[in-house]
Amino acid sequence: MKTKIFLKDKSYNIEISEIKENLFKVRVENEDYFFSKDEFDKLVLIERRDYPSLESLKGGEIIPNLPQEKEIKTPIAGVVSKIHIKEGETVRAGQVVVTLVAMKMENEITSESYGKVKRVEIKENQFVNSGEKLITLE
Amino acid sequence: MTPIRKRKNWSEKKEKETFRSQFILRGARILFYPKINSTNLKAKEIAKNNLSGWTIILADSQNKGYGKGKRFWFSPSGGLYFSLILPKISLRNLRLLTFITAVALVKTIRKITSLGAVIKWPNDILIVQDGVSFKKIAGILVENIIGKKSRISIVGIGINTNIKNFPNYLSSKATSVVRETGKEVNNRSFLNSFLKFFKDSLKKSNEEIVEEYKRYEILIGRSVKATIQKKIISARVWDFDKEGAIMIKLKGGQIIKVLEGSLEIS
Repeated sequence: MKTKIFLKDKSYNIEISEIKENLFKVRVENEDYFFSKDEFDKLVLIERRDYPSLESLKGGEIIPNLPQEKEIKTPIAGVVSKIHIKEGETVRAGQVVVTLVAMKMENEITSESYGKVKRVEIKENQFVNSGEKLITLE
Repeated sequence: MTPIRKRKNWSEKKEKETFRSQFILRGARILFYPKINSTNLKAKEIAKNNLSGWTIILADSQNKGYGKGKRFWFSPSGGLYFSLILPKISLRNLRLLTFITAVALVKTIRKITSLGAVIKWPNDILIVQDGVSFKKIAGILVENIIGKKSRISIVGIGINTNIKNFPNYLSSKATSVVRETGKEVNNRSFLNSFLKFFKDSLKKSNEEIVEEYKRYEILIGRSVKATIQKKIISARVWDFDKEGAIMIKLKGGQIIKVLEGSLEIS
């Protein structure tokens, strides 16, 4: 979608496109900005320094290198009741990756990053302590 | 699609889930549904909308109410069913949320009725029968959605207030306020009182919360059969730690911490 907006007597050409599922590009003049939806369906800006890597990947899997950490840790202890992702899969920000049960509370641990799962560090029925690593992303 | 078909679909949907009104109670926004599938499911759906304050899904009846492990929770009209959505809850409160909720529920039942409600770790609210056995009067299911920066808790509660009859499979395990006292209670007053106790507890320290929980908990000091990761162990309940884990003492004297498992009085 292309449009033109006026701000303080200046005009800007805007182009919005969805380049991959849950990855949106907003071009303002010749500058590109990328957004991904978080768990609240709110669009979150992806870091500027990663634009070149996004642009050079055409056709293949586009995995922006988000500034977030490459590890998904649990802030709460519990027993792993379900692992929702597999190695090699891509996860988006806000996606539930692991369910932990503790004191009959079901805790859905979500990813803050958009990335590819390099390693699942835990197994189902395993006990994990708070702060322990669950998933490593590439 | 013809207009008639549209109308049919609309009424089918309406029969399953009917939103009626919203109001404010103790600073929380209450969304009232006479009929709903499950207040926790609806709460999870609504929680995605970046809520700023407390929101409560309240229903007169649920047709797919569930408890731990997605087990069916009998939820006919007469009971009180609600799910509290707590956006941006602190990690400290999140760990003890089941404890905070259980204490607030017991206090509410004790205040509004003459019943001496007790807690069975971690989330069952029971009424003592003939001094020896127990029947369940309320249940809690907390579901948390946790990211590195975001945290949402959904506290689902079902209370058997004005349920007069239970199906055969439940009659030996469940009871209600009206069956125990012969008197119906006002569900809205019940909710109001619960919210007051719940808000008060959130302000307390972990130590205070655990101390209060221990006052009403029935397993402490008793011999139990614990099922932990499919193994059955005989032990005695020793204490609770400040994160809500139960400590049990094995026959050899060793004390172990249990975060997940089921315990039955032996």
